[in-house]
Amino acid sequence: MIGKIKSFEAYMGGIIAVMAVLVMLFGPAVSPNDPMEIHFASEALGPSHEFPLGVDNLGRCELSRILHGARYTIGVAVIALTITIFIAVLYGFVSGYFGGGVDLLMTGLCDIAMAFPPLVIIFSLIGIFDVCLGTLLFSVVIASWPWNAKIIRSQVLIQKNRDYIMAARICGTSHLKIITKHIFPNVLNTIIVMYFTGVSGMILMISGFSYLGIGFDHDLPEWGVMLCEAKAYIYTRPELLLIPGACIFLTSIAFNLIGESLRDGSK
Amino acid sequence: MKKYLFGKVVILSAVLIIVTVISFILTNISSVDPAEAYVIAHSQIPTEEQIQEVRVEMGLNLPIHQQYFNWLRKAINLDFGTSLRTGNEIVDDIKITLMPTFILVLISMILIIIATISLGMLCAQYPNSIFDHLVRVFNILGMSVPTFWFGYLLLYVFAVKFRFIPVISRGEIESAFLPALTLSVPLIAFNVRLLRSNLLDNVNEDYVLYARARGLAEWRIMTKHVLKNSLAPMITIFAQTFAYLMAGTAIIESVFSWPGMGAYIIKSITARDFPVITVYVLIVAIVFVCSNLLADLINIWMNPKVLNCSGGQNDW
Amino acid sequence: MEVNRVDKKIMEVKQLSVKMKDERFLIKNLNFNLYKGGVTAIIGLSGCGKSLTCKSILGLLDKNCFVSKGEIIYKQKNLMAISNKEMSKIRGNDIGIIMQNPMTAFDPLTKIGRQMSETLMAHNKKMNKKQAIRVSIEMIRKMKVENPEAVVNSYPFSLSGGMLQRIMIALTILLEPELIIADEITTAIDASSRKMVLNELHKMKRNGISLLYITHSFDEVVHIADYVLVMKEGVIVERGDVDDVMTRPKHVYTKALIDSKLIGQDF
Repeated sequence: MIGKIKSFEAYMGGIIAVMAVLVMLFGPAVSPNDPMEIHFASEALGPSHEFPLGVDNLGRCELSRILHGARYTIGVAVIALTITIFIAVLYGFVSGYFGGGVDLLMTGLCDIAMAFPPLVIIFSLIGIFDVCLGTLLFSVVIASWPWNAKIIRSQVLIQKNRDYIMAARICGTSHLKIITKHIFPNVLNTIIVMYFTGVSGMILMISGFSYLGIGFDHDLPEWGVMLCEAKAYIYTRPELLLIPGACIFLTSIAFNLIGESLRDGSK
Repeated sequence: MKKYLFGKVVILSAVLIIVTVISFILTNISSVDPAEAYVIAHSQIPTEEQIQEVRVEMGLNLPIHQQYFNWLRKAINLDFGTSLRTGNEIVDDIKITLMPTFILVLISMILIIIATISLGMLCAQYPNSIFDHLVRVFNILGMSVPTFWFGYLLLYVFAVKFRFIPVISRGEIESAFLPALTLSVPLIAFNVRLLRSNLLDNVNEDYVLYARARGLAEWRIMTKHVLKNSLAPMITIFAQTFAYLMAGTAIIESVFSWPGMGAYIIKSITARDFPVITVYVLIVAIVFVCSNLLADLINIWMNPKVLNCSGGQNDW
Repeated sequence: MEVNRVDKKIMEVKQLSVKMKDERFLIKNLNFNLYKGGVTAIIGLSGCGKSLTCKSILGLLDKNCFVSKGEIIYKQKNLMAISNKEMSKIRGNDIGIIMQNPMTAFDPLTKIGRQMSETLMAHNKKMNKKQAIRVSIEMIRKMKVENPEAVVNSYPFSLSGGMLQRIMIALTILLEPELIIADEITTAIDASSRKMVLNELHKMKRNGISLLYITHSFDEVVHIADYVLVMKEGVIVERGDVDDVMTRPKHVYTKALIDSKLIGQDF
């Protein structure tokens, strides 16, 4: 029975994630209004026929903003994650496979990079460059890659110490072949799990920073930015805070569910 | 043992130094000229001479490595300079703000440890039960929740709707509970899962079988043996959790208006207060390094085997 | 055929059957008795169910097997029917066990002395820690272990298998059980320790302690046991006094085992 529940979780996660991706891709096409358009005279602040989720503090349609915002929140997260994992894989493989001094140096670099909390990295970089999306992406990648690199490195090490690798070496297989044909497929599992759970973490990190006002324009309907705008209205219009946050929450849950069931499945 | 410790201290000191160097460089090659920013903030009519004067005062005309060593020298004497934003000695500002953050982190750590152990043990006692399943759900929710949003949710429910807790706090212990809870939830979720997995692994070990065969009471086996073996690998994680919390309270502090270091640093960053940022990085790095060292020490104390271990690895 | 059994019967195993969760039989219809001061050996190849029998007696079966039928009568109680709490009082105190692999039998993070004293104090409410440690040190010294004070203060990983085995025996003796189960105790230790261990078992026998001796070595059976049960795939295929079975084996399997010395071990 527990097995059924576990796959139920996976299904739930899958459905919500698919919905999130659909919203990301087609949201703007189905949104009832322009997310940037300000409707001054909207007396009806709450949900109405014209504005299914009501309007926000500036009179913009909430639902439309949510639908458009998915692109920013999820899209940027996925891009950042892809870059991060790419770097982490390269780093982890080189460090784990070749070992020795190279490994020591690279792990040391990792440790130093991990000593900087993400907030500090971002803020330092803002000082140098400007408060823009590129900076945010760059800093998020720098903040996240060491953790992923370490995980991949340990997986590579586990594989490398397996007997079949030693056998392959004895047969004279080249390094490249061993890495690509033998080690990589076995680490692929970890990478995939990392991807899904990473999307969730990335969304949280990026929306966290956009909540602080970093990265995105204040007009953009990115969910974190919407939260930032809404926090002043916590007394009067709490739903403005609730809705974008709930979207972030749900999307994050979805990807985590998938990631977790993949991880359990691979055990 | 001494050699091991000495080696660790050396490495960690190196990490500290490198961290400060990088942070110093980062904050000093920014596009904003701190001298200019200062003058603009503090005088009616900023002139070039004033800016130049301030620049010399701040030592900005010196080559960068010189600046760094000056800073390092002063820092060792706990003279971190003056905040560009508040005008106070940074040391004083930090003294005031460090304590509330530390209290918050301490309360969070206590919450985390108690919750992790209780939930973990209960799950291991009744694996695959309804309770275990609820905890699993809690895990996923806890890891997925955006903390800043959750904080506002709690704030709304308890402060606005129910009026249990003042919305703006001045750092009293009672009002630390909500922010601590907000901070703890994702970490509890993460750690419970780990502990549960360790517990379940340990329960199947030979030593548990023999302990039962010797006639030891089940509760004693679980607490004095299984729990100990399951918590041991988590010491390092708890230490890193502590360091992570110390560095990561900024957002929550701003949500709950908690007068701690995190809120302070956000304001400093928005104001481009570079001396403060550099010091902040140093503090966080020190906390990080000390926590790791502490974790290592505890590990050695709990499990002397660590010292004898040598890793075996194929190297080619 | 139990000849001249005027001694008291201390345990009766009746029709014991153990199954896996998927209905496969691991042990089928075991019937045997244990007598005061007698040494009964169970011999067979790996996987025949010898260890499982011990675990069943002590009520320590894995989660994926269960006793499907049968009774184990000890002190007028059916061990299959009593609570775990009652059983834990019997374990160690009345029925002791010496395990096969001493290296993993102890908690790696607790000192040996502590593990011994907690066992002693669990069964003897009147003993305090100091007495328990003192008594343990003395018994370990009797096992010809040098510097028992240091040993008692060490962690399991710093002691050899042979030494840990002796400590296990010391602990077992201290608890003064009526019956001791020895589960392939000579398999994992060196030759000199093996000799010492078998000597100790002889001493126990002389002191009137009953032994259930699991082994895969006929040499040891001859050396120490009075009565032997030959097991194959969960069933007793032959039983009898050691002399009888060794010189006039009736079952084909027993003959094969003795002849082929598939499972002989010098000591």
